[in-house]
Amino acid sequence: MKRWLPILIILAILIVPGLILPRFSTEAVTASVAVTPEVLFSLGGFKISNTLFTSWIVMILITLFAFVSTRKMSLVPSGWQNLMEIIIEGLDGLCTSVAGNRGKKFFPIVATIFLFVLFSNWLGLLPGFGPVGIIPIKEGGHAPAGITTFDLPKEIANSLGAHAGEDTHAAEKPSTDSHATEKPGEPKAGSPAAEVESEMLLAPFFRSPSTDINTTLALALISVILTQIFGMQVVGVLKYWTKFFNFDKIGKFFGSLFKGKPDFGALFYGFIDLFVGLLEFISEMVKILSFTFRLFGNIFAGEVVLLIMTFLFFALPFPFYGLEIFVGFMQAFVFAILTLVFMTIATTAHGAAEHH
Amino acid sequence: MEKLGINVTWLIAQAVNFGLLLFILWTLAYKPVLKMLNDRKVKIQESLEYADKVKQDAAEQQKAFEQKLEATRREMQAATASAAQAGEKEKERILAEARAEARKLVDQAKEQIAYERKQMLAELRQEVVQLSLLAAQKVVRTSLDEQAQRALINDFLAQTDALGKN
Repeated sequence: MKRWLPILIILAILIVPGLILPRFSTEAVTASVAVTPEVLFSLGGFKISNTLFTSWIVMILITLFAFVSTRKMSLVPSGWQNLMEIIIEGLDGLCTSVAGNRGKKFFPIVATIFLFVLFSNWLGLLPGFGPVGIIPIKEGGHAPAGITTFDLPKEIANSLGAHAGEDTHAAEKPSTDSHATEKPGEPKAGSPAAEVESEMLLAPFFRSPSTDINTTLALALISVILTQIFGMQVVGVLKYWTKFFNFDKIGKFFGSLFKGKPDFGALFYGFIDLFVGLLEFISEMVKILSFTFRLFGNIFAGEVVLLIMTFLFFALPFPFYGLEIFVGFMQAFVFAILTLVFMTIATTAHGAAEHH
Repeated sequence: MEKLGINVTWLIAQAVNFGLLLFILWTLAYKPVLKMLNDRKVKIQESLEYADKVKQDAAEQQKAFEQKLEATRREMQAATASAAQAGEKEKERILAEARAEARKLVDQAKEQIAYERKQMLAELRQEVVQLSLLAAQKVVRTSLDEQAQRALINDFLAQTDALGKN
């Protein structure tokens, strides 16, 4: 019986709100999904988006984790230290097994990418991410149907809402995140109006950094740029770039031309080399895009899936939460390991390419 | 770009965040944990080596001890054997001595007896002669001639000789 208790509790959590909720949310609900992060407030002219805000929370959490796990280090590990050691030892072993002795160099970047992406992916799955935030409502307006609102003191509302209000123009549709309808525990302060009268924007306080292109693009740029830097460092600057711009054979052709015996074969292969180099260069640039949109797409889509499943049937998101936890881990792992692999290739492949 | 929400300041902010996090993790987690892992590796290696050494030492000690034990056992065996041999010899010697002593005593006794017997016989003979002489004198004085007397004495002596020889 005891073994079934947790499962019964989970089922109860799933079913009970589902039985109660429909009573509250009979009105039509509009949900829109915004790709752009919402602005929470501005600090000296610098707009702070909710994803940036959540990034800091992620950083604080990781720092806390690191601090707690290394505060009282002992040769016989226990608790947090154990967990941290498992993570670091695993990643370090992975780096060493993939990149050999260069793994030590790549490890900090790979591990940081993994931890940052993992924390932001998983944090985004927590309740409260997405649905809880500020909705600036124009004078005399009402909150859209199905959304629970609180009245804020005017000063705070003005200082917070002003900037979010500006952003309303950036978002194309009135962006209301209807996750809010899931929260039965919140008191209904504002009375839901039948009609949406004004343009509104829900600015959730928390939004997973992985659902912001800026974050994923920044990580992708860091990954790809560091890959080039490591490549140049290990293979040599000139030698590294000849991988992309290879004029060897064409030079040979001109050399033979001056001698009076033009070697057209060399010219032909020279152009092939140039073309191959160009392809390599493009694929290098495409890495930025693939890194960016793989992470962004997976996590953003995952949250959209959860949202849609919530609308379809109350218990339906449950298996998808499991899936999203897995996807969150996989994406962090894939980002980290691809970075590692690309760095390894950049620091080795050229030497091998020299042979032909 | 705008529709995707790409914003250069946010992009840079996130890059800076990453750099900051990298630095924090490097100082707070990677360096100490990797050092700890290395320390532990070294420590385990040392412990294993030490254990091996101790094991080897113990084995050597046991071997030496066993050798010693074996030597002692052998020594003890030899000592026992020699002691037994010595005891046997001593026994033989004592027995022989005792036997010789006994024989000597017996011989002495026999000699003594023989001697005493001879003495006694001699004395007896003397006595007999005297007695016979006395008797003879008494007889002679009364009736016997010289011839008859001598014959009688000889007869008597022959008889006593036979008696003495018995």
